[in-house]
Amino acid sequence: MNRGNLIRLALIAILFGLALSEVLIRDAPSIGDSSPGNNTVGMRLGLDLSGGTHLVYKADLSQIGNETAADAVKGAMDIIELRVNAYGVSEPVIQKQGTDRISVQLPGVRDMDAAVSLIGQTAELDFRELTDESWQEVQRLTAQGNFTGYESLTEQGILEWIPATAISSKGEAVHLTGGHLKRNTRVEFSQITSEPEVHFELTSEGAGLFAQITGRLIGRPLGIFLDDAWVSSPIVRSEIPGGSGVIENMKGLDEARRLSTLLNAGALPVPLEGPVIREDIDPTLGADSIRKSLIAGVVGLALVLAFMMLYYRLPGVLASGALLIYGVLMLAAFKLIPVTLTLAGIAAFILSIGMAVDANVLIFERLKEELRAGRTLGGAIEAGFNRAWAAIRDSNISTLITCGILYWMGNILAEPRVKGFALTLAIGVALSMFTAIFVTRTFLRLFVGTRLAGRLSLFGMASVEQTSLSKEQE
Amino acid sequence: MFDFVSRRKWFFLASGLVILIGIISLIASGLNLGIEFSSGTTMTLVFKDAVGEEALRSEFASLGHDKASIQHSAKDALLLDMELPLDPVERGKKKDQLVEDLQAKFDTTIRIADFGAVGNATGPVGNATLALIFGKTVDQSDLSDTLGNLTYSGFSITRTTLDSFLVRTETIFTDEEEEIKQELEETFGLLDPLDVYSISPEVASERVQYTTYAVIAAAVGILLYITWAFRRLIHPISYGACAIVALVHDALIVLGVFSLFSLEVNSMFIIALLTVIGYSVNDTIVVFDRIRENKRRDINADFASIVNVSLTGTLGRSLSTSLTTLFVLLALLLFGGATISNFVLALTIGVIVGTYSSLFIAGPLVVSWERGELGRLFDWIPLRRERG
Repeated sequence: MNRGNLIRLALIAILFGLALSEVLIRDAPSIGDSSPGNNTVGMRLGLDLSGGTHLVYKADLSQIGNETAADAVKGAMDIIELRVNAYGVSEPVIQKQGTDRISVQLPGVRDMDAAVSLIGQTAELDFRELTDESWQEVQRLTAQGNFTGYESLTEQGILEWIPATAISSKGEAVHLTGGHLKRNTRVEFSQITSEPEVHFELTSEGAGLFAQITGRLIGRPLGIFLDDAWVSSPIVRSEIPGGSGVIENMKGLDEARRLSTLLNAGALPVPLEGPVIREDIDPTLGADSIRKSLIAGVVGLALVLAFMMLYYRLPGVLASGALLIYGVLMLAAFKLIPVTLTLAGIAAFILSIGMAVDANVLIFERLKEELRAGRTLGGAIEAGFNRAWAAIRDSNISTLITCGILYWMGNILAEPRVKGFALTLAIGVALSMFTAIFVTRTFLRLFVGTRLAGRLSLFGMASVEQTSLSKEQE
Repeated sequence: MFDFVSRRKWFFLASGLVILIGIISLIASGLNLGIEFSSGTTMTLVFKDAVGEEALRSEFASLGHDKASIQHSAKDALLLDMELPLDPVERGKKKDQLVEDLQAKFDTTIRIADFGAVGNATGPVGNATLALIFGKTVDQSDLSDTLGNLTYSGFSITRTTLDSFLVRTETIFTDEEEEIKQELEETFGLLDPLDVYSISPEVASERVQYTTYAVIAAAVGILLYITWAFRRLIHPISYGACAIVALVHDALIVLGVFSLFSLEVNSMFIIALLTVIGYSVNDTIVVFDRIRENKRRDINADFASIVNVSLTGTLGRSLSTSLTTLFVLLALLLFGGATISNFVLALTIGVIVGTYSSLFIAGPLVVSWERGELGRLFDWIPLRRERG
C-alpha cells in the first residue's frame, strides 16, 4: 500500500469520526429549553415537522418613501419579534420576503387566532379624563350607593372619556399617549396588594404634560386606555411632577409582562395587511411524518446497498461503505450549517442517496470497461475515475444550477419547503461527489497489488470475460 | 447491439403521442391546482351540535361563498369542560400546553376544537368547552386520570361524535373569517375552524409567476452550461437544445399524467418537477459525455454509429442508476405516508421517463439535428418551400 493512500485513508477516518461524534453527541440541554423546534438528534425542525403557525403579512408602504421603506419593514419585524417573544414562543423565525412581505413562523403555536391577535396588537396606550357630566354621574351614583366600578360603567357606555391633554413646551394642546413613554417600562409587584403592576416613566415633554394633567385631576380618575379599551383609572391623589406612574389592575403576571413588552416595543412603523398567507400545521402530524420517512429511508438505503453489493460485488461493498460515510457526513452537515429539516428536505436527503450511488455506478461501469479492455486493476481504477469525472462533474453542476434556482424561488415565495429541499439536495450533491471521487477511490486503491486484485469476478466481471482476459494476458 | 438511432422515428412518434394525450387533457381539464397556486382558503370546521351538509352549503352561499366545496366527516371526540382564560393569547397558550401534555402521554395526533366561552363572561377566566379529537381511541377515564395527574382540576369529560367539514373557498382573510364564524355560530351553534390554510390571490398569482420563471431559468441555465461544456464539439448548442427537448418531454409527461388523473398540483409538486428536470438533464449529460468522448477518439466515424455505441455504452449505468433511485422512491411511496405520496409519484414517473428520454429521445435527436432532419420537419410550411 502506498503512503499517499494511507494518508487519505487516515483523513477519511478522522473526518468520519468527527462527523459521527457531531451526529451522536447531543448538545447539553440548556435550562428551560423545552422548545418544540428541537428533536432528540438536535436538529432544527421546520414548521411542517414541528407544527405551528405560519403567517405572512404585507407591509403597506404606500405612505412611506422608498428610502425609508426598508427601515420601516425592518422596524416592523423587530416589533413583531418583541411581541412574539412576549408570548413566549421558542425560536420564532421572522423573515423579510421580497420588498414588503414579512413571514412569521411560530413553531409550537397552534392557536392561530391567538397568534394573529398578538401580532396585530397595536398597543396604543393613551390617557383620558372623564367629561364633567360623567364625573357628576360618578358622584351621583356613588352617593346613591349604585357605583359599580369604572370598568363596568365604561363598558356599558355610561361614562364618557375624553383625551387628557395639556399644554406642551411649544404652547400647543397635546394628548398624552404611549408615545410619551420612555422605553423602560417594567413589571413590579404592588407593595400593598402584591398584584403585578406596570411601572412607566415619561419623556421630559411627557413628564411636563403628566404634571399638568395630574395637577388638574386631583381627586378625580385618570383613565388609562389600551387600544381604546379601558385598563385602569386610578384616582389622582396629588400632582405627579417626576414623570413616572403605575398601571394597575392587571389580570395576572403574564398580562402585565406582555403589556410592558408591548409598550416598550412601541407601535408598528407601517400598517400591516393580511395575513396574505395563513397556515396552521398540526404538530402531531409532523411527528408521524418523521417516523414514516425514517422507515422509508432505512428501507430505501437497504435496497440500494443490497443492489450495489449483488451487482457490483467488491466495489459495491466499498461503495456501500462510502455511502454510509456519506449519510453520516450529511447528518453532520445538517447540524453544523445548520439546516432546518423539513419533510421536503428529508425527501431530498433520501433521494440524494439514490443520486450519490450514481457517481459510484458511473465509475464502476467505467472500471469494468477498462478491465475488459485488459488493463490491470490499478490502471483501470485510475482510468475509470478520470473518464467518469467529466460526466459526474457536468451532471452534478446542472443539478446544482437547478438547486440554486429553487432556493432563489423559495426565498422569494416564503416557501420554507422549497428552500429546504434545494439546500439539502445541493449539500447532497456536493458531498456525494466527494464520497464517490475521494472515499470510494481510496477504498478501491487498497486492493491494488493485493492478491484480490487478480480475482476479477470480485469486480463483477463474468467468468467468460475473465477467462478470455486471462488468455489474452498469457 | 440495440439500434437506438435508426428506429428513432418510432420513439419520437411514441413520445409525441403520449405528450399529445397529456396536452389534450391539459387543455380540456387543466390541472387540479392546490390553493398555493389558485388562491383560496381551506379549513376544517368542527361543530358542537349536529349540522347538515346541505344546510351548511346554503349558509356559505348566503354569505357570498356559493362556490365553496364542502365535505362532511363525523369525528369521535371527548368534550372537556373546564375554565380557560378569556384573553386570546393566554387562552392559546393554555391550549398549546394541553396539547403538549396530552401528546407526551398518548403519543398520537391531537386536535383541539375550542367552542368558546358561553355567554358574555367577564373577568380573567370563563367556562369553556374543548373538543379533543385524538388520532386513536382514548378512554374517557384514561383522559380523566391523565389530566388529574397533570394537576388539571375542575374539569368534566363527555364522549360524543361531532360533525366536521372540510371547506375550501375563495380566500378568506382574518376579519371575514371572524364574521363568517359569528354568522355560522348564530345559525348552527358553537364551532371552531381548524387547520386553516389560506393564500391570497396576489400571493397565488405571484407563485404561478415565479414558478414559471424558475422553470425557464433552470432550462436556460442548463442550456448555457451544456453548450459551454460541449464547446469543443461541432454545434455545441445542439447538445444543449436536445437536452432541453428531453427535459420538456419529461416535464410534459409528468404534467400530463397529473392532469389526466386530476392529482393535486402544490408546491411539493413543483419541487418534484424541478427535480425531474435536474435528473433528466443529469441522465442526458452522461449520454452526451460519452458521445463527446467517443467522437474525440474517432473523428472520422459515422456520427450515427458513434451515438449508437455511446448509448449502448451508457445503458448499464443508466439502468443501474434508475433502478437504485427507483428503489429509494419505492420505499418512500410505500412507507413515506400520504403527505408526500403525490410528490413521490411525480418523481417516480419523472425518473422512468427521464431515463427513457435520455436514451431514446436526446441521443437520437442529436443525430437528427446533425443530419438536418429537424429543419426538414418544417418543409410542409409553404413559405419555407418557396424560399428553398
